[in-house]
Formats: sequence, C-alpha cells, structure tokens
Amino acid sequence: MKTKWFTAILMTWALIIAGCTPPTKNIDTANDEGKAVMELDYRDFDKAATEMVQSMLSSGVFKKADGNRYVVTTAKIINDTMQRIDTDQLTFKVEQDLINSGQVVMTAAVGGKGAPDQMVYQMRDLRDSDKSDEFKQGTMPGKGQIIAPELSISGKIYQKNIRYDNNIQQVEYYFQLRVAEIATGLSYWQKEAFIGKRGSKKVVPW
Amino acid sequence: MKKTAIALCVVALLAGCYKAHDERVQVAPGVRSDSLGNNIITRPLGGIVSFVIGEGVVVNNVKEARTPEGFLEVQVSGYNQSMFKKRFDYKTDWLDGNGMLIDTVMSKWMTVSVTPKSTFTFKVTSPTADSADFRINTRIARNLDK
Repeated sequence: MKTKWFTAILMTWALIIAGCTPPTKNIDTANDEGKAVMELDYRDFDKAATEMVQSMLSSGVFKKADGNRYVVTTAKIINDTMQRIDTDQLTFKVEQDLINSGQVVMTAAVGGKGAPDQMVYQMRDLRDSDKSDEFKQGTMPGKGQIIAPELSISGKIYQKNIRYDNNIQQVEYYFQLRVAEIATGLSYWQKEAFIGKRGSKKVVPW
Repeated sequence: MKKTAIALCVVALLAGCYKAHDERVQVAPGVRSDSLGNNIITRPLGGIVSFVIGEGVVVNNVKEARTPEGFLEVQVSGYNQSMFKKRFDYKTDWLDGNGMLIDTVMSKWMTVSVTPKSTFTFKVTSPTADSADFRINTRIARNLDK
C-alpha cells in the first residue's frame, strides 16, 4: 500500500516537473522581441552588419574609375572578446550584400583564414597529380588564372567589461572594419559600430 | 479700459523681449529658460496630459536622393511630440522597378531614440542601384536601458 502511494506521488511529481519545462519554440526572426542577452547574439551581428554595409555603400569606396568591379578579399577579423565567435557571422553578411550590390566581386581563393573555398586549390593539386589524366584536360583550371584581390576588408571585434554599480555590469562591444587597397596599403574606408549592454553582474558574458 | 491697455502694453513689451533663435538648434525644456507655459510647475502637468492623450512621433519629411553610384538614399525626419523619450525600431524593405522585394542583410530592425519635444533624422541606403522604391515599418523598441 505504501509502495503504491510512493509510486503515485513519484509519478505525479515527475509529470509536474515535465510540464514545467519550457517548450521549445522557433525564434520569430522577422520580428524578434525576445529579451536582450549579455553575449553577442544574431540580432547584434545583424545590426552591426547593417551599419557597416550602409556606410560602405554610401561612401562610394567601391566605385572604380573605369566602371568595373573591384576584387575584394576578407582578411583577418580578430575576435578580441571573451566569447567563442566565428567572425564569419559578421563578414559573411557583409560580403553577401557587397556582392549583391554589383560593385564588387569577392574572391574565394584568398582570405584571412585561408582560401574561403579550398576547392580552388584542390583542383590545382589534382591537375598537377597523376590523377589529372582522368579529367578532360580542357576543363581543368589552367595556370595563371586566379585573379588577385585589389581591396581587403579587415577588422576586429572587441569587448570591454565595466562595473556600472554594485549590481550591474556594462559590457561594450566594438565592431571595427577597414577597407584597404592591397597594392598601396592605403585605407579608404573604416567604421566602428558599437553595441552596449547593461545587466546583472552575476551574468557572465562569455 | 486703463487696466486693459496697461496689460496689452506689458504683453507687447514682453513679446518684444523674446529673441527668436535659429530653429536648427533645439533647446530642450529644462535646458532653456522657463516660461509661463513651461516651468517646474507646468511641466509635470504637461507630462500627464501628454501621456493621457498619447502623444508620439510624427514623420514630417521624407527625402530621396541617388548617390553617384546609383544607390537610393532615403532620409526620414520627424518630431517627438511627447513629453517623454520615444524609442522605436524601423526596418526598411527595398523594392526594385517591378515592385519585387530585394533580399538584403540591411532589412533588419534598427533603433532610434528621440528625446522629448525634439526632432530626429535617420538615413537608409539601398543595397543595389536597382532599388526603385522602399517601405519602412516601425515598432516599439524594447529591451533598452532607461
């Protein structure tokens, strides 16, 4: 009798706990009104990317005198925050809109993290290997065809933690990007986007 | 009759003392000198009235221009009629010549904060030179510090 009661109570308790678990939901990314978080989330990267692209396009930095498109590469974007960030979260969005603007062409052969597309070199390795005979020779990439980038986008994301008062901390995130001409080393555009957060000092922003 | 004449003279004198300033400089209540209608007593009353009648932001000017590269730039100007700070998000959708939506990273919610009784301006740039028209939506901004 006691065992039955104990089992019933245990099962009831388990059901209550399961019922209290918040259900999984998809984020409404078109109209996300979820609360802010101390770390960087996708909304922050979206805002920073929007500011950067707007500034780049309205500055006219990508206007080439002969009307052609610049070949651009993304160099190193340093993550100087306490978080494990893939800086592609920022640069991929920026590159996407730059390509769609029709003003630039991004290169997949050269980048700050190595070639964005390793296939560019894998095919060349195959061409130079003894497996090359398996391929129709006219379809293999020839030597001297890769176009070198003319402009480079580089930058940094860094974080500063400040004690606001006894209970609140302030975390500042700075997104810095720069466009430089590779041949001359001259920088033609740069911008800093800032995102600041204040919250409980008990929350660890990493 | 005499009293009315004296009162009118005082009003005329005070009006003559008023110096119009350049409208490009917004001097906020509490920064500028108080007046009969705007002082430590009437400001709270004004705040209550503003809250009750639900004053907010009005957009009074939208300008369009093309950059030399052909990108469409839109500048939106407005005024916060309220006695309180107003914060809102805006999102721009860009349309091409056929009215079709252009996919862009820049169609994201951006925040504007306007102090009481002040003007605001923000500018957006189209993602391509093909952009022919735009649509801007707004919503109340949340999760912002006081």
